Amino acid sequence: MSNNKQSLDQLWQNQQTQLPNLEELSRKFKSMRRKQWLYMSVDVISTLFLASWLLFFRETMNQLMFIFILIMTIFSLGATVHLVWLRRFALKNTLSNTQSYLQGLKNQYINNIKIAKFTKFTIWLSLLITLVFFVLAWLNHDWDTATAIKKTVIATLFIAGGLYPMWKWSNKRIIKYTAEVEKLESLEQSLSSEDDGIVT
Amino acid sequence: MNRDFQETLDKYGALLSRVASTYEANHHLQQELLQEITLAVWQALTRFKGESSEKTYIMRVAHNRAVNHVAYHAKQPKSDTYCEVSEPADNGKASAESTLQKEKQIDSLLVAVRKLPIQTRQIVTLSMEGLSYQEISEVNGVKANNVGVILNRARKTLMEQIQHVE
Repeated sequence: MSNNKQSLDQLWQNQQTQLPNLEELSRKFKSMRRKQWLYMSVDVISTLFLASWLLFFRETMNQLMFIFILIMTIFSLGATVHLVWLRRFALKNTLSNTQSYLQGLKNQYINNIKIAKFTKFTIWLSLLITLVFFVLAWLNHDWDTATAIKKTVIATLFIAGGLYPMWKWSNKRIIKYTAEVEKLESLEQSLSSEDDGIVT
Repeated sequence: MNRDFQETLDKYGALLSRVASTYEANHHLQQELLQEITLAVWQALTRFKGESSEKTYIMRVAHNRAVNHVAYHAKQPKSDTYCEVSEPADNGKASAESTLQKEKQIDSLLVAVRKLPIQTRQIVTLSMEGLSYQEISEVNGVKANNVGVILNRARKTLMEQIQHVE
């Protein structure tokens, strides 16, 4: 057995090996770091923007507007914290053993599906909140009827047009990650049903 | 690229290439996988705290990335697509016949390894890289006392495949 082991090890180590393309690797690494910083910055800046708006323009807002921006700020802060946690979890997961890694990866993909579904829900919610906001403003006599209708139509079209690509993107992610989860489940099954006769 | 990582690559580059060849038979996809593995290792090394040996840590990250590749492609690589592996350049000392024989054995070993279930494949290749049962357990999560049983069966299977070539 010892000779067998030695000859197998020798054969294995004698196989032809390739070298990674260092130039491409360097480029990818830098691009990956840039993307990570960009995603993080966008999340943080959007929250800071809303918070600054609240802080510096509080006096120019009526009560309704203030509550609206406050809800958006809290929601944005929660989403930022959640996304940072998810990214940190994804990075940490790569350091686990393979069995835990696969489980973690599956959970991550399931989370991605949940986030995508939640994003789709928030798109409808944003439209609804906007409509409610305009109706309340009209009821509060902030605008006359013609101005309220005009502003409502413009805002609705603007939000719907702006959020449509996000809705499509979320839909694509749901389809993509559902397929990924199915693949991982079949891989997990193949790991646990291997004909080694060992239950791990 | 910093000097530390360049040194790590000098030390473990061949090992990373062998991890890629464990999971991917197609030459071009193998090179792609090697890039992905190396990138994952580069990123993970910044978080290395010395809780295991550097080699075990690198192998864990590399195998996880490779398993991800298998999951992404949704099927295990077919050994018959593997057509571009050959023995390293002849150093001029070995005879052409023995070199050819060795090449065939290596090809046969690679084909046999890729036919193994993923868990067994990990265990046997980690062992061929010189990792102990405990270290193998740290990489793939199989209990250390089960590693030996799986390993013995796998080695026997591989030896049978290679002996067919001789």
